[in-house]
Amino acid sequence: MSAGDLVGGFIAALLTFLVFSYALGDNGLFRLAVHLFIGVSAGYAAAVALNTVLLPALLERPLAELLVPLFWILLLFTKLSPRTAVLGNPASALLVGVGAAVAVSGAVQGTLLPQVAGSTSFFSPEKLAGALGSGQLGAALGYLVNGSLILVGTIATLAYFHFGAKNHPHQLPERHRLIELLARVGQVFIAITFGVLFAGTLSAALAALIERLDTLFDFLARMAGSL
Amino acid sequence: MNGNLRAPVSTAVALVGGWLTLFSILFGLEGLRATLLGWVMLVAAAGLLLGVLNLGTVHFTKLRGGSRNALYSFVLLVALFLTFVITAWLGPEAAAPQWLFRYIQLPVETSLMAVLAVTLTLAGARLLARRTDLFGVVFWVTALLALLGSGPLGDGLRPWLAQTLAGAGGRGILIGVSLGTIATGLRALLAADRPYGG
Repeated sequence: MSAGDLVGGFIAALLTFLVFSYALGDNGLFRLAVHLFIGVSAGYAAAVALNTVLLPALLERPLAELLVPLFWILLLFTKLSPRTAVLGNPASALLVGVGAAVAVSGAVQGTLLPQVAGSTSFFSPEKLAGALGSGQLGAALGYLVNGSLILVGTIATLAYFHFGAKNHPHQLPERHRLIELLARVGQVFIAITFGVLFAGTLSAALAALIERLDTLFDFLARMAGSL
Repeated sequence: MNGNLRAPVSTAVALVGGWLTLFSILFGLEGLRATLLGWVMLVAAAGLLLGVLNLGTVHFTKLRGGSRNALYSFVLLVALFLTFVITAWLGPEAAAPQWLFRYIQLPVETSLMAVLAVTLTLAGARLLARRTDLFGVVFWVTALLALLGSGPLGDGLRPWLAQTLAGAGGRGILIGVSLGTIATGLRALLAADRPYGG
């Protein structure tokens, strides 16, 4: 074990204990570890942004190409002082505008269309014809049942988040009966989804706990062995 | 939409930048798209540096003020400064930044994830105690089946539960999230929302 690994292992073990102290409640030792973590992460992220994005562009691209972004960066840095901060608003506006456009196109092309296509993929005629053609009636029936469940579940889940309601005089606003019925079905699907997600996250967290304890015991055993 | 436009320049910049980017993506105008995103990538990287600088300034002010939590700010500032200098000077792939990653970032991240196991179990138990309606029961039965299904017990059940039933709910939630993203994005592109001081 090299000196760097020894010191590193000791620091890692100490930090693990500090974070685990949170099990006893929020305390100063836990906050110390978290502040150290934030400092290292922020410093690392800033250095990576400087080294991999800003410096290569500044050193490799011709100045004419850089004039526009440099102008916006200059405006953005006026936000450092409260007196000049208003000058940086157009640079923030550029980030918001372009970010919104990328988010909209990403949501349409990356999520909405693929998810809608996925919700109906079980009803694909090729899939059904393939299963029926090879004499697999059970598989074709399975496609139809699972496809129907996915379609109903998706629509019902969406209905759960539909909060539009008509106003009736002297009555509380109520959703349409069909939407209300679908929303109740949707609630069951949402509970199932959260249950599966909970189980997955708990499994991952338990795996992390086992890994940490294993590393800790391994380090202590190696320390004891080297004494 | 607020008709009283307080920052016409910022609003114009957001609208022109946003719509040009959207058109360039939708109509496959590669040159325009690459130029706009190239500029914005540099501005966003500078924004990240600005954010980190602001984080440092806030904690430096706390440290100078001698508040009760000054020790935390001191630790954060030292860690921030050293990590930034070492990583920027040697590069992220060098041995020293990798040492910081392996012995500080990774243990804290994994330990936080491990603590999540305890807090999740406690939160789950609290949900079971407080909410005994259909949602709570379905949630817990599903979670237990999914956990049991991770072992050899649930060869057929777990995939069906995760891919069909939970998949349907997940798809609904994802479609809802994407519709929300589109609505929020369009509000920014139509200047109905102006989160840049407009």
